[in-house]
Amino acid sequence: MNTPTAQHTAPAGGRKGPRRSTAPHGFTARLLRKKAAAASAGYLLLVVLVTLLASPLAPYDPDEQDLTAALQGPSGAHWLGTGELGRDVLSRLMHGGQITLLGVLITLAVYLPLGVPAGMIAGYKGGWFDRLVLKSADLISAVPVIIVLLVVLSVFTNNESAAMAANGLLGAPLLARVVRSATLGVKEELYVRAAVAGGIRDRVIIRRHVLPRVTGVVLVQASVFGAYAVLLETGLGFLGLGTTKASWGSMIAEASKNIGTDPWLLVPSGFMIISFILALGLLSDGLRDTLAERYAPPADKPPSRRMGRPRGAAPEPLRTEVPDTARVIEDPDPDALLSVRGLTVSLTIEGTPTAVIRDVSFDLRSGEVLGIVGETGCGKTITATSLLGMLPAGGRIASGTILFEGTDLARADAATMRRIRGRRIGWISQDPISSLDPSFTAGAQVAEVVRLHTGCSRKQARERTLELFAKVRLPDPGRVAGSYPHQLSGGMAQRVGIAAALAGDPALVIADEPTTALDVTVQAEILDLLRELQAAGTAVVLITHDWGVLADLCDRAVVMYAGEVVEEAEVTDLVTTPTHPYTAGLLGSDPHHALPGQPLPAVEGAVPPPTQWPVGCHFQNRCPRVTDACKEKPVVISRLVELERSTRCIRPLELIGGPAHD
Amino acid sequence: MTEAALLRVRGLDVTYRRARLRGGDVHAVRGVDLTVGRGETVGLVGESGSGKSTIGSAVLGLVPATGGGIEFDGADITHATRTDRRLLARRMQVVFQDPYGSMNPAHTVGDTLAEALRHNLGLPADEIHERVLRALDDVGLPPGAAHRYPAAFSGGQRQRIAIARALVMEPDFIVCDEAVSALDLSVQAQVLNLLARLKRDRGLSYLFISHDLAVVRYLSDTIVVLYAGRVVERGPAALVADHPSHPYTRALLAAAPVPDPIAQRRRQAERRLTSTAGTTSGRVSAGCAFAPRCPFAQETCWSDQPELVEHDGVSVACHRRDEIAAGTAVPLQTSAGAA
Repeated sequence: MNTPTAQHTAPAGGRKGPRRSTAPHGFTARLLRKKAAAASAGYLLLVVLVTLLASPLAPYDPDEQDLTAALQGPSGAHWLGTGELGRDVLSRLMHGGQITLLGVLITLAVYLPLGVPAGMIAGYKGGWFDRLVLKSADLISAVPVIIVLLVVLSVFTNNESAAMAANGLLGAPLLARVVRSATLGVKEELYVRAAVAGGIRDRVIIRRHVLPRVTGVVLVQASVFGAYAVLLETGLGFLGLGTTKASWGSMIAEASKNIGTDPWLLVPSGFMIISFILALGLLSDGLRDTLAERYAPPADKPPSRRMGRPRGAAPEPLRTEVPDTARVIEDPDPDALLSVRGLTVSLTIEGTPTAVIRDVSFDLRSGEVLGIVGETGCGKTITATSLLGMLPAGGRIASGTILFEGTDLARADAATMRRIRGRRIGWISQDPISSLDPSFTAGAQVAEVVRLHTGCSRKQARERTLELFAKVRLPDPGRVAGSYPHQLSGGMAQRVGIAAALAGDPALVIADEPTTALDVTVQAEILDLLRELQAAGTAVVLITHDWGVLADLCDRAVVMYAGEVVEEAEVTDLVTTPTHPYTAGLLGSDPHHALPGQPLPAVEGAVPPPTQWPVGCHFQNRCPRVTDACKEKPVVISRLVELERSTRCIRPLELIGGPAHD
Repeated sequence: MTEAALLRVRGLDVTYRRARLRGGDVHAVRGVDLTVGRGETVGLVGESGSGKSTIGSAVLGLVPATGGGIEFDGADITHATRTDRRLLARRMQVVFQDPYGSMNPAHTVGDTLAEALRHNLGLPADEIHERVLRALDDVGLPPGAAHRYPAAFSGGQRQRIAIARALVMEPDFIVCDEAVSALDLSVQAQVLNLLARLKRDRGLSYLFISHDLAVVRYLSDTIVVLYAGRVVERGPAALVADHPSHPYTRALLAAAPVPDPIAQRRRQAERRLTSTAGTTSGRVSAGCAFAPRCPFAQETCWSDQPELVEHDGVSVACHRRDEIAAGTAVPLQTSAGAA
C-alpha cells in the first residue's frame, strides 16, 4: 500500500474501511444500529401489522356486544377487558387502529406532497412563489386549527377523513417554510453551483441535490406531525366530533365517560396512543441523527490548520515510539527561553492512541522568532497546542520535556498551565474574526483578558486595553474598542487578537498561521507588527505553510513532515541550502520559483496520516533519493554542529553550492 | 487575438442589491473589459472584495450582469436563458476553490462526474462510463475512484476530481475560481502542473482567478489586476507581475513575501517607504478607489476616475503612471514626513 507508485490509491484505499460505513447505502443499517430507533421502528411496524390484520387476528368482532359482560377488567376471555356495551377492548383497539392510522395517513398524504415541493421550490427559486409560501405560512400560524376543523366537521358531519385532510392542508405551509430554510442552505453549496454551471435543469438539481438533503428535516417534521394527527384524532373522538366507529379516539371518549365506574378502560387506549407517539418521536430522533451523520463533514477531512486534528484512518495498533537507543536526546538548553526535547504526543484515532508527533526537539531564545513550517497534517499545530497544554480531547503528551522558564510544561498540572497561558505564553489564532465572541465589543473582550491577568479595576483595564490597541497600531483605538467583531476588517480583528495575546505581557507568543486568512497587503502589516513585538523582546513561535512569511519574519525554523522535525536551521541556510529532500521539495513547489512554461518541481503524493507512517523515514514514499536503507529503521535526526543545523536524513543533500531548488 | 477572442467581456457591471440601511447596493464589478483568446490563460488578481470571483460568476451566469455585455465565441451570453446555458455548459466549465464543498458527499465520484453527461448531454450509459474513466485518467486518478465517495479522497485528489468533472464535458474554456488556493504547497504544485498540461495538450483557455500573484504569474499569459471592482492594470503576465505599473499592483507585489530572507529584508525596507495604508483613512475618494491607500495620490486622483490607457501593451488606470514609471513621482510618506 505504501509503494511510491500507489500514491493515489494508498490514502484512499487505507481509508476505505471507515468511509464505507458512512456511505448512503447503509442508511437503514445505520438507523437500526441505534437501539431506541430500532426498537421504535419494530414497535410501530408491529402496531401497523396487527392493525392491518385485525380481522383475522382479533378474537371478537369490534362491534359485537355482550351486555352481560359490560365494563369488565381483563380476563381470560377478554384480555384487555370490555367496554360499556360489553365490546372486547383488544378487538376494538386492533380494529380502531385502522381508523386512527388511516387518519394519520390522510393527513400526511396531504401534508407531504403539498409542503415538500412547495418548500423546495420556494427556497430554490425564490421570487413571488417564495413570498406566497411564507405569507400563507404566516397566515395559517395565526388561524386556530381547531376552529377550522369544527367548521369542516359541521359541513362533513362525523367525517374524520375530511377533518384529517383539512389538518394536512393547514400544516403544509408550515412544512414548506421549514423545507424552504433547509433548501436555502443547500442552494449555497458549491456542488449546486457546479451543477448550475454544468447546465443541469433546476428540477434535476432539486431532485438530485436538494431533495436528499431536506429528507431528514421532512422525516422529522412528518413524524412529529403524524404524532400530532394521532392526538388530533383522539381529541376529536373525545369531543364526540369524530367517527362513531371504533377508533383510538372514540375509545378514549368511551373510557372518559366511564372513568368513575371503570378507570381501567382508559389504560389500553391511553397506553396505545402514548406508546405510539413516543415510538414515533424516538424514531424521528434516530432518523435525524442518521441523516446528520450522512451529511456531516467527512470524518477524514484534513484538519483545519487551527484545530490540527489528524485525519481519521483505519485503526491500527499504536505505533511504538522510537526506541531510546535509536535517538539521541540532548539535555534541554538552560539558556533557552523554551527548550523542547523528544516531545511525543498521542491522540486517540478511531479508538486507538496514535502518536501524531514524534521526537520533536527545538530551542527558542528570548526575543527570537522560530518558524515551524510544513504542510497540513504534519503536526505543526499539535506541537504548538501541546506547548500551551491545549491538546484536543484524547490528546496526551506521551514523552519528552517542554522546558519553559525553568518549568517542565509537559508535566505541569492544570493550575500551573492556567497561570502560564496568557501571562507567560500568548496565543494568536488563524481566524481572527471567529476567535472573537460576536456578542461583545472588541474592547470589552480584551479588557476582560487584562482583568483576568492583572486583577485591576474595570477603569484600569479599559485604559490598558486602549494602550494595547495603540501598541498594535489600530487606528482610532477608542472606536475599535467600541466595535463588535463583525464591524472589524480581518486585519483589524487580527490586531485585536494580538492585543489580547499581549494583555498578560507574555515572554512568548505562539502565532498559528496568523496571516493565512488575510489579504497579502494586510498580511504584510501584521508581519510588521509581529516584527515590532520581536524587537521589543517577545519571543515568537510562528506556525506557517508559507515560505515567504517564514523568510520575512523568522530567524530559525524547523521543518516538520508527518509528525517529525526533519530539518532545523537558520532560515537563510534553510532556503538556500536545504539538506532534507522534503525541505528542498517543498521549496521547489513554491510558485515564486516557478518558470512559466516549465513544470513546477512538485513532490508527488501526499503526507501520510499518522496511522500510515512507514517504519523508516516518513518521507520515503515521496522521496526522489530514497534507498533501501531509508526504509529499514527510523531515521535519527543528526546534528551538524559546525553548521548549527540538524537534519533527519541519512543521505542529506549537498550542503555546499547553489540553492538546491533552482 | 482580437478576432479569435473566445470570451469578451465589455463594460461589465455587477451590483448586488442591499437594503439602504445596510449601506445600500454593492457595486461589486464596475465597467470591466476583458478578453480571453483561444488557448489563452487570463489571470484575474485582486484581494478580497476586488470583484474577481464575481466576474467569474457573471461569466458562468451564476450572478446576473447589471450592465455591459459578455460574449462567448461571438455570441452574446449576457442574458442567456437557462436553455442557452445548457448548451454553453458543454463548452464552458468551472473549478471552484473548496475541494470539500464542491462535490455532493452522498454521490460517488463517478456519479458526480456523470451528472452533466447524463442530465445535460443525455449520453448513453456506456459512453458516459467511457468518458468518466477517460477524465479520471486525464487527471491521474485510477478508474476505481469512480466507485468511491468524495470523503475517501484528500484535498488534492478532490481538486483533481473537480477538474475531471469540468473535463468530461470536453470544454474549451474553464473558469478556475481560486482553484489551487486551498491546497498545500506540494499538492498545489501538482494541480498547477496538471492545469498547465491540460492547457498545452488540449488548447484549453482559462480564466484563472486567484489572490496569489505568484500562482497567476506561473500559469497566465495575460494578467488583469482588479481593485474595488475595476481593472487597474492589464497586460502580458511577465510585464505586469515583474514590472508592475499601477501603484496597487506594486503594493501587491511588494507585500507578497518571497522565500528568501535577504531579498525579503530589502523588500521590507522598500515597502515601508511607499506604504501609506491607513494614514488617510476616513476620506472617501470620488476618483480613483485606490487613492486613500496610494503613496502617490494627488488631488486629481481623489476627484477624477482614471481611464484605463494602453501603453506598450500594458493598460493602466492611473493618473500618474508616467511620472511613477519615470521615478519622478514622490511617494506621499516622504513628503508627509518632512511636513
